Amino acid sequence: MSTRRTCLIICAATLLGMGVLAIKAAPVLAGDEPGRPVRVTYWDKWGGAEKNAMQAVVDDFNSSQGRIFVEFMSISDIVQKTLLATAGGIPPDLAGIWAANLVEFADKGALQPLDELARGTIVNRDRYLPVYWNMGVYKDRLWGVPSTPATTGLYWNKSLFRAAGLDPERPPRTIAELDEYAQKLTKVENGHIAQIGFMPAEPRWWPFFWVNFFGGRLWDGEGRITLDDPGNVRAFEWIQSYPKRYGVAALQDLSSGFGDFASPQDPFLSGKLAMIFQGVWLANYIHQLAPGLDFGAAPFPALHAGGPPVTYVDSDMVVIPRGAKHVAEAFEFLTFLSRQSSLEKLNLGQQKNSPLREVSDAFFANHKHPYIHLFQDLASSPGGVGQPKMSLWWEYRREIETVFQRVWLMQATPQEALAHGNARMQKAWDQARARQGLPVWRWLSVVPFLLMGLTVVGLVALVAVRRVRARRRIAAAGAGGGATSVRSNLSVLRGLLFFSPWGIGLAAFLAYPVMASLVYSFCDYSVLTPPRWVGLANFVDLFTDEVFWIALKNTLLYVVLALPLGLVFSFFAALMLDAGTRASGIYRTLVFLPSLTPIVASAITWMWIFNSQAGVLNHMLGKLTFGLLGPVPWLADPHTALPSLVLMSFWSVGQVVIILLAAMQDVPTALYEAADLDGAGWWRKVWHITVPLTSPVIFFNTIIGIIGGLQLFIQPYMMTEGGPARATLTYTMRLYQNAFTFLRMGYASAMAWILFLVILGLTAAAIRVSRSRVHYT
Amino acid sequence: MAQVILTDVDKVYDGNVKVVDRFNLDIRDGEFIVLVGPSGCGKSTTLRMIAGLEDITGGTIRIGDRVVNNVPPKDRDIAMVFQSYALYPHMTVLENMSFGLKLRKVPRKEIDERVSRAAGILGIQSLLDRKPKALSGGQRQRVALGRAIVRDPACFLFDEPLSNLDAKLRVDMRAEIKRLHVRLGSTTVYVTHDQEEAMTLGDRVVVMKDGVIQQTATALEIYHLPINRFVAGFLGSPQMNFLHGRLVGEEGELFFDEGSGRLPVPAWARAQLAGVAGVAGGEVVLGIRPEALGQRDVNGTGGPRDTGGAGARPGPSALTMQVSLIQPLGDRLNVYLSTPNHDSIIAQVPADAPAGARLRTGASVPVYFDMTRAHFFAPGEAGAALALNRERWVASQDVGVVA
Repeated sequence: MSTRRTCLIICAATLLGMGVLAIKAAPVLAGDEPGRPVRVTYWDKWGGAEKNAMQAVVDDFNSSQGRIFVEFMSISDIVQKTLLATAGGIPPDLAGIWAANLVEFADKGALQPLDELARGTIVNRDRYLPVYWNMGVYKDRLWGVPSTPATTGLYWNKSLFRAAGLDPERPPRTIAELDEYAQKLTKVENGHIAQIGFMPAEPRWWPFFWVNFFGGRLWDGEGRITLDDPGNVRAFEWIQSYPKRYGVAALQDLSSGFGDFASPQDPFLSGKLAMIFQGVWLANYIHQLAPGLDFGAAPFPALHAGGPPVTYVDSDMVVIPRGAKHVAEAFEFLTFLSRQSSLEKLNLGQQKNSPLREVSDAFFANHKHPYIHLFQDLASSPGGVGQPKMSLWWEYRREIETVFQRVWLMQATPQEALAHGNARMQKAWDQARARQGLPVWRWLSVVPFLLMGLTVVGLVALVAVRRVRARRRIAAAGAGGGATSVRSNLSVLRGLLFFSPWGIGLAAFLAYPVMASLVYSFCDYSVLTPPRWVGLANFVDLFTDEVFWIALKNTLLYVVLALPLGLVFSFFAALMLDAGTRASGIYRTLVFLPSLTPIVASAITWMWIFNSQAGVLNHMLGKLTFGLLGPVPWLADPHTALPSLVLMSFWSVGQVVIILLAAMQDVPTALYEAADLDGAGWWRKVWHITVPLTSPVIFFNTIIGIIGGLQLFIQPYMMTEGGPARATLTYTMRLYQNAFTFLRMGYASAMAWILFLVILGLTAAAIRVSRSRVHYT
Repeated sequence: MAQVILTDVDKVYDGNVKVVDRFNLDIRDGEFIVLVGPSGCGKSTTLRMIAGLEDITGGTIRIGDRVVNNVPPKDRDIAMVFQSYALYPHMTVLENMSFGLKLRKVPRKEIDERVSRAAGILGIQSLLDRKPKALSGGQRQRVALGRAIVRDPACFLFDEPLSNLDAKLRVDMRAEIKRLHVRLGSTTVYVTHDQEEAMTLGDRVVVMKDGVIQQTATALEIYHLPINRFVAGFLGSPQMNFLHGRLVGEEGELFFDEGSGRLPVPAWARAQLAGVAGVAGGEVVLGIRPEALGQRDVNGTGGPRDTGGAGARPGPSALTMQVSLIQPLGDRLNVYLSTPNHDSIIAQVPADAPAGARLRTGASVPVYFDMTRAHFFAPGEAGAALALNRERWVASQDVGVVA
């Protein structure tokens, strides 16, 4: 009886605890308390000064009235988080996304249309510059309001112009002039490019935009991809003229020495690049990081003399996600933000131009950008072009990045690369459009739960059958079953109670995702819209998707190289540590330390190690080979990028080394002594004694290595983004891109299941092969 | 086969820990020598120095006609059997036995012949395809022996090879090893801490303590003529009893005064004890083996008129002791006795004593000393022998039996 009471007390305490938590959490989730201002949550992407600028506007709003309180939060990965929160039904009331995401969000029903709310307010097209306003309009509806816009132009370093004998006040006006200037501004020292006039690969953000200077276009606005358009071919021929002129290796060498944007090592800020196509914001960074830089800004050169200026325009858009709790209040803040004073305060703070047609004199007067008039004029000009409004844009953009890299690395002619990319994207788009016509099956979302339920029912049935059998046995043996039954019911209840914390976690975080991914692998599913059943189409598409095979090949190649080399390296490292010198404790620590470094930190460290100009690796190689071996463009060259990641994998072998060392220290000394007497030398002792006696541990590490290697993600994600030209695109990276960048969850789920089968197959094969080679003593 | 000569061999660890000190030993060709001593006495280190598994700090080691100080183990022409057997666990018995020969590039055919012959000698032909984990302890030990035999070495080294076996198997394997030695006639150095093993196996036994040889002789000589109290205590089971006392002269006679009684010093010992500080009054330790204590007077020096009576007065070669424990061992009894000055004196007596003479725990009984088998040592843990009955030893050698 007391046991039953204990159980009841535990149950009651658990329920009470959960109740208290629920009550505590309720206001956080609901956000409302009577008599208090309505809390409007606003997520945006900025940090630092940019965040502070928006915070100031939010503070102004909050202090201007007492009914609404906007809670502004800086969120990384804003797009993914907003999408997931929206899909989960708990979106923020406001979110700051990029204009390029708006179409996809709107297409998938993730946004609240704003037309009705905007009617009769100051949020209207007449006040905004058309190029920005139109970014918020899709299929004739308003989905977002521009907040901080951008315009681009050509920046040039006047000091370098002077040094090259060019007029520092006269920037190039045509593309031909740009190329001519670029050549004059390029300096080669000791066979290396020390300074370059211009590089279409810098920055790498908008490789899709160059076509606009050459009259190209990316799609026909309806159903046809036009990546192979003659204007695009001209643009990419111009792009390829740079590696043709300077050499791929020389450019790789140069660019791998460039630091990140927003750092003093940025190529333009550090004077390695004389001219750059950049946004209005650059002046702010020059002001902060290279205050002495004497620069100019002008419209980017036109193809022909006197041609109208073309400028790339973009904007941050504030949207109200679907399902937001306080739409009216959120829009009230948007109205406040749309005021000229608010937008000018915000864009002054972020050192950008204004999205409005009317700009105050004070805005110009207070702006630090010496060329702000130019950028404001460019934004007002008809030559402003943004990113295409198509729902597959992010995938298309990735494809263009790959085309750019192939052209830049001279792996293909512009015609070949563009035609290839065109075919791939057209297929993807046709597929996506075809799938849009498929019926939505809402009940599919329930299937994972059904599968889980079936599993639980199966397990319960199994337990019940076993219990009935056990009871029968007891009855047959003539034992008193009644008391036993009560006791055992109680013990099952108690067992379930204690199991429940882990069991709930298992169900929520493992069982459901596994079942859901299995179901979605047969669906077209974007998280935001209900799944559409496509049968085996995802798997069929995967097997005909060349990028899938590239990713799989890269991953397997990585495993085939990194695993055996890493194991051999670890084995010999452990062998040396096992030799037991006086300082072996210190060596052990040194070997193990790197594996304690967070993987992101080591990825960043290794980006520096691999840096072809400033990196320690090339420095050492140069010294060791007495300068005979030139700098290796480790991560910049498609041939060396993957081997570089393999090399980097040795960095974290510490754990394997320690496990192997422990195994080696377990080998009885008498065996080595017996081998000494038998006449075995060092190598034979290693081969005939150490290897077989540590084989279970070697095998364990092999299995763990296979599993870990096939899931390689962070290093390429951080260091190469899968490039150059997909040379380091790994399986899980591609999976991640499909899932979270292209929102093709069904496709990604199919990839996950294939990966699971590959891992299962390889592990099974390893176990089979190992049978005769692993010695358990 | 070869002789092994160790001359002034030293082993010093970490600069100052001397584990073997001026070790001199001449092992004859074909001789079976046993190094025995307590844990840490340096016997295994000495063996490992012979094997070449430990460097020597000083001195020379010769195997055959070569100084092998700097010769690697594989070239010393020796084979060693380890306490843990040291069989390669991933190899079959056949592979274990042939591994060394393969490394020496012995032709395949010859390897097969040698392995087959060794397996035949040891009766392990049926085990050749098994791996060590599928063998019993005794079988593993045979395989370890086989691995040594196939090498046909100049010298066999055994490092406590039987200590992992149970008592019965140990006795069997002991006999096996001895038979093998007789059959192969090989020079053998055998390390053990088991004095029974030492006594049954060795042609000669080397007793070691703290890295120093205490005595080198045949097992029986060591048993009967231990050179010091340590050796006397080490060999023999139960071990020799040691009674502290003084020599007392009275009426021209010399007595050993235990405190609770006196024992007459036998004639053979008197001369040898002459040098002990003034003889009378000098402190000595009387050593007497448990089997030399009994309920009957064997010295002919007179005894109690009533050996079982409560008022019995001990004769000149007896002390009255109290029985504290009786351990039956079948035909014998180990009787634990005490005097007011000494605890745990052990007497080993026949179990078939007449009913009247049966011992009871707690009873005070006269205990007779066979003084022909007494030993006199200087005081101290390793006190040197002051008097040993050599005449009796020599006489027994002539007869061939020692009573």
